Amino acid sequence: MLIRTTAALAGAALLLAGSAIASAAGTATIVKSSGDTKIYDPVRIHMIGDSSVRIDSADGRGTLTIVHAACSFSGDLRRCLPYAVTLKQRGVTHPIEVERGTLYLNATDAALPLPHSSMKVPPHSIMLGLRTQRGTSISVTGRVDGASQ
Amino acid sequence: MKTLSRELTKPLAIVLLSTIALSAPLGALAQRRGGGGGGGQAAPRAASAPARSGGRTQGFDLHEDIAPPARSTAPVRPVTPPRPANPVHENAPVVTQQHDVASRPPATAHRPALIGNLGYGGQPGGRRVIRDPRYQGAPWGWNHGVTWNPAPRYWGGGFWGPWALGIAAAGIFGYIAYDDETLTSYQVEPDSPGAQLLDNYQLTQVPCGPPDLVVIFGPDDSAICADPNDSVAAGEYQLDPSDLTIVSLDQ
Repeated sequence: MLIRTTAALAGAALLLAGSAIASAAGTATIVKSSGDTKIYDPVRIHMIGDSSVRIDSADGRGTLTIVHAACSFSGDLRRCLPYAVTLKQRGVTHPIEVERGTLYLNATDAALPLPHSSMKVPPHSIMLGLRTQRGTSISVTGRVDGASQ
Repeated sequence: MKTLSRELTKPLAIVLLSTIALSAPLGALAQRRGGGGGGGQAAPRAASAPARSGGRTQGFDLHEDIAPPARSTAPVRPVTPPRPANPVHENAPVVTQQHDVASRPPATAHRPALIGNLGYGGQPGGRRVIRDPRYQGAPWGWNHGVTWNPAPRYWGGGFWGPWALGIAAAGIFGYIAYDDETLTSYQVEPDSPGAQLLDNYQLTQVPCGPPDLVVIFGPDDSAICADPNDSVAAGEYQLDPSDLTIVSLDQ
């Protein structure tokens, strides 16, 4: 009995460790116009159809939805322009005015070079950088957790 | 049996403790590998160091961006700036392109319809159509088969580059004047769909203004100019983004 219990606990612990790794999908960094910086790690990244990306905070209390269009390709790397962002928090959805930005999506199984950079976008990952009209910079990098229509 | 059980339990307990002890560093390691840092809990740090979200965090801190504006803001879409009396730019000739009434494209509200998939419909109406010399297959073949849709807030919907409207990030590349309207043209960003268009037609962008140029009207009331070549004669053209066809507006 003791062996079974111990084994079950060990299994649960291994599962917990595994889920900690699996949930470490991405990182969001928010830099305000004042320079104050906050890093959110991990965040979950979810693709919604062809036109939106959803970023969920680790505590599940904040969701950023980024709507993008004008998608074209640089090699196999997809590049889109974000133009609308909403923040859902405490049950309320707030629009956030976007000034400009770029979203890179690598849907392939290989790392792809970022244009005009020595950096690479890992497989099945995104790199997002945008600036709001209030001067806040939002950047998100990480692996896509899931996709839905 | 009891002894055996104890002997088996001991290593399992060690495994369990080791696993629990390792799980946090593994998670942190995974987070660092995921892009930036470990530790779910906020730790004391220097004022200049970036703060990490911790247990007290509730979602994302963007309160400055969701707060009501302190003063009335500019319109969401700042359109082309007013036509300068004497537009001066080191790359842009001061002479704006003149059009006679017969050949001039109508003003924005009734500009000839695109024939592509942007919902404009319409037919070329006997006008000269120049097909993309490079891609002549299925629609959007130039874009890996993916439909290109314009993104609001960007000049030309983002076709010519990621130039946010109202932001002087792009180099002004001349003006195109009409009766009551001036379109500002900007430099096409390398690696953009617009750059691909220019490359496919072997066109070189030049500042709008002088006569006898190729003028291509793109999405969202944008226009660029290029020197004519053997494939594309001087004149005005409307772009169909679905297949990068250009249709002459000259009758």
